[in-house]
Amino acid sequence: MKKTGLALCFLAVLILTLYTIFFPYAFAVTETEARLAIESAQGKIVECYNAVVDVEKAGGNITDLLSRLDDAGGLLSKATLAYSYGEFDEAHDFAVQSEEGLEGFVDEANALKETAKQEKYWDFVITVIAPIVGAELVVCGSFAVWFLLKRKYAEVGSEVE
Amino acid sequence: MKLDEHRALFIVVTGILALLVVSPALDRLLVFPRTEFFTELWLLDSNLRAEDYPFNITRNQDYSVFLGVGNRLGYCAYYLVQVKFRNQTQSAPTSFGPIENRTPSGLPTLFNISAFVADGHVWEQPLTFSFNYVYNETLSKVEFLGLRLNDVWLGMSDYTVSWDPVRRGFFGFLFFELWLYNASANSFHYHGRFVSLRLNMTVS
Repeated sequence: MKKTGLALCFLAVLILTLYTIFFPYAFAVTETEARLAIESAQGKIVECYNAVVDVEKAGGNITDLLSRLDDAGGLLSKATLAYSYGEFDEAHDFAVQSEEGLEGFVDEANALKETAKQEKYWDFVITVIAPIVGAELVVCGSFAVWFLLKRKYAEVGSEVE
Repeated sequence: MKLDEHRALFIVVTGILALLVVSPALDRLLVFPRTEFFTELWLLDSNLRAEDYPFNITRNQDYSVFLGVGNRLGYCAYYLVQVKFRNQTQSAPTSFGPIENRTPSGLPTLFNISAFVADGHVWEQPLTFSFNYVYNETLSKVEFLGLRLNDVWLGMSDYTVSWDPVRRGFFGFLFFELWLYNASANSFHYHGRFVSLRLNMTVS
């Protein structure tokens, strides 16, 4: 009983393997699947690009993000080319690779944006607020010194008289 | 000595000191706003100069150029460079006049190169290409089989170049149109710029 089960299992695997080898088109990617994969990859790239624009607006460093986007864009171009030649398997593979390369991209971009916002705030405090406050202190301090000196001179003058 | 005699000096010294302290803030605040927003597009030879471009093309011979894009739009831009080829009788894109009136070539694109460029930055990529073609003596035409661009094979089965009896050659143009992604329209638009290589397909 156990032997028959094993034999059946082996036979099923063998048939499936032979079917895959001799009838590969049965498992090939269809034109629609390839097109949808390309559209999905293009949508992902646009989503990530918009995230990069936000990071840039916040003043963050986008060099690494752009490098990843460039890679994904290159793969998408190859996918589009393969699709135009009717090579849907290849087109699908490139499109999937393109999208996979951008996994976690938006989260990373959002984290960078938050960091950039904080850095921008402190940069503003240090380079704008602090100097203005400092200049006001210099002016007020100078006036205080001036009036102190004036009072002292006035006292000295009256003593001399 | 009267203190009032030194009032002017005291005020000047205080003013200079205050200006020195506030200078980092002035550096940030007194910036003239940018008024010109544009994109640069260029093509350089293999030595990154504008002097020794490939011209006489031999079949299956590699040639190199550098394609560059400079972004001065004020934001990170998503560009698409459409690689196209035309002969002397086919339509060329336009790059003069208001951008909205400029038109791309109606020819199909052979390949798209995407480029993401941060504001104020430059994107430059080497391009190595070679043409495969045959000479049809009967029709006096060069018939293309394909273009290899950075190890990507691009089919050109419908492309031909006829003999130019005036300039004595088989002339074609490999050109690169610049397209820009418009986020509000969620599509690419011709950005009114292109660069082109005039090539002579030698058949001897």
